[in-house]
Amino acid sequence: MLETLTAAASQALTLSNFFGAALGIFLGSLLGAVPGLNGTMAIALLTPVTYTWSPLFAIAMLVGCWKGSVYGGSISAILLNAPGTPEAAATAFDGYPMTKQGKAGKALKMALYASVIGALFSDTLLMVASPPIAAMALMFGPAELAMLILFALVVVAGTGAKSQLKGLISTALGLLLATVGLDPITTQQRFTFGSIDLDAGIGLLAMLIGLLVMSEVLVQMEEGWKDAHAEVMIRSDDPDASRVTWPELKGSLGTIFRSSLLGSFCGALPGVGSITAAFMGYDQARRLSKHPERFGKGEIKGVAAPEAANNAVCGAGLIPLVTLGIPGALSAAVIMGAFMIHGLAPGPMLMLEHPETIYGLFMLLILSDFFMLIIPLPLMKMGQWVISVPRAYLFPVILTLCVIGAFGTHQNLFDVKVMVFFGVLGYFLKKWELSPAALLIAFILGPMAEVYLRQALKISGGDPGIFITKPLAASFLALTVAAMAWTTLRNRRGGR
Amino acid sequence: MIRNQKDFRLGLGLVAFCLFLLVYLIPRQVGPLQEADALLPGLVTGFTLLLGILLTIQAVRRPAGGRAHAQGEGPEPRSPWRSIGVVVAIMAAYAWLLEITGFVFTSLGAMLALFLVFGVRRWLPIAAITLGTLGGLYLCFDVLLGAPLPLGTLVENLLE
Repeated sequence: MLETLTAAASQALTLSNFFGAALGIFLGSLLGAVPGLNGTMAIALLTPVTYTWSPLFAIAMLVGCWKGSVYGGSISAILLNAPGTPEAAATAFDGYPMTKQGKAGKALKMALYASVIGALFSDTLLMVASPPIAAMALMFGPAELAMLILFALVVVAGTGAKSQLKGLISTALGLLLATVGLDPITTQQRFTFGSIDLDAGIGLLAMLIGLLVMSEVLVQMEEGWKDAHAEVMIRSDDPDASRVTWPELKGSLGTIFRSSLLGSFCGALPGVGSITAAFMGYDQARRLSKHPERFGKGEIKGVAAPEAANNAVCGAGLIPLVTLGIPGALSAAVIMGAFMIHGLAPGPMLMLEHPETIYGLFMLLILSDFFMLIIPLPLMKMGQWVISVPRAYLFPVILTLCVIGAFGTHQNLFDVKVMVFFGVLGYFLKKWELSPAALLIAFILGPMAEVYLRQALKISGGDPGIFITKPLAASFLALTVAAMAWTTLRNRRGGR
Repeated sequence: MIRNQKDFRLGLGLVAFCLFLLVYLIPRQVGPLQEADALLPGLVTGFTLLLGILLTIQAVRRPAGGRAHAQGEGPEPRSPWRSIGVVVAIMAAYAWLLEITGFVFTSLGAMLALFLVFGVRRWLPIAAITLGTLGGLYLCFDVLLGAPLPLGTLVENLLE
């Protein structure tokens, strides 16, 4: 173990990797701060650029970008009451009233400290919890893995769709799209329509950029975007108004740790995500506070709680990805794509086959949390300027980046057409209240699900009873049925 | 009486799509449904068909969720269909022309057209952002990553 850690440290702790992590945090904070852009879009656009880089540099940068964007969203939430990312919405409840009281600097700094503590907490959890979970997952056979993926797909189906039914439809469409290309076992052509370009299947990155980035621009056009215009910030003469004092930080530490725990829990569960975590964090802080009436009026704990919770999702969100090969959230799904581009197949074997790379990545993630204390500081000063960039200027640039990003990875012009197709499809999916996130995660997990399913059936001689007779597989199947029943019941109660 | 027209249409569309897959596309593009290659496509299509039927039935029985546009709030905001259509057309042309006219000319034209669609009329920012973006992309892909952006068959022929 010590040897692995030493090898990982020598591989990871280099100046270039530090630069990668720092660059990711800077770009993430910058893009996250702009309302209309989000972390997933930023990661999707950056991934094509990284394919010639070393896996550690690239993935550290992309995860840094994810973390940075989660914090960056709070800048516009606090300064303008216009959350840069959906997970920063809860931060605006108390952050914006603090700005109106002339305490914008204090709110931004508390958001930063809480974000760093939340991220550190969850990265440590990732480092500690991943090896035993991966070791346990190694004992799973094809039947167990097939049922585990089925469970994850059903849980993830709830991500972003209006109802469980529409989530399941999105998941099924994703699985169907995953079957395009050569059959993973017999190499028989499926749905290729005679096109050589489709033999390798639909390009993940092109699909991802179209579904997540181009479609978002079209949706925002339809919604009639309203650009945020920064008002003149109220400045206070009190020096304490722009910094967090030690008693304030000490008084918020309990809230921050509770929110970090909550956020980590939400991150480790597939499909829950950082938006839920942020609202749950805010809610627990308000309920446990001695002065709940202060919440919504500029309470500093109301900024700390959601920020700690939503940042804690990032590290913990990588636990199911690294150990089981299951992306629990949309950003994790995009990062899974980056793992695959760099020849690292997420799953239980990853820690066995590339221990130095994975432990090196864990080290870089923890280190990047400290970078997060410094890098976004200039953005706080430039905040008003950054968040006021009109979207009419941004969108043409983003759409150009979509085209070149889709082309860049494989130098294939067909991928650009695929990107445009999925951009339009993503727009309609959102209009029909289906979930591009569930579709994308199902598309990523589809090939694995198919291979495990067919391997299990081959072992059993075609008898589907293998999924019931094996105790672990049966447990996952029971969990899947329970998850579906619970969601259906919850929807029915909600509908009444 | 159909209570949710949008879901009803989506459900029916899904049912039709799945039937088309099961009856026509899977047997032709994959193979007979009883073969291993067609196991997952067949299973998933069957499941989607079931979900489509459920959605159609639900749309007949249940009204659309969410707040309906209230009376007295003025006319419903018009969807900018035309602008969205133009952006999609520009992106499609961009994707198809990239092979012929190459990165520089296609991107230049596409960016200018997109700025105009988004309502930007100030030429100095348009020129600065367009040239900055294209220069940055050229530096990033061609120079730093060694992954040349397409020159275009037309430009290649002219250079020859």
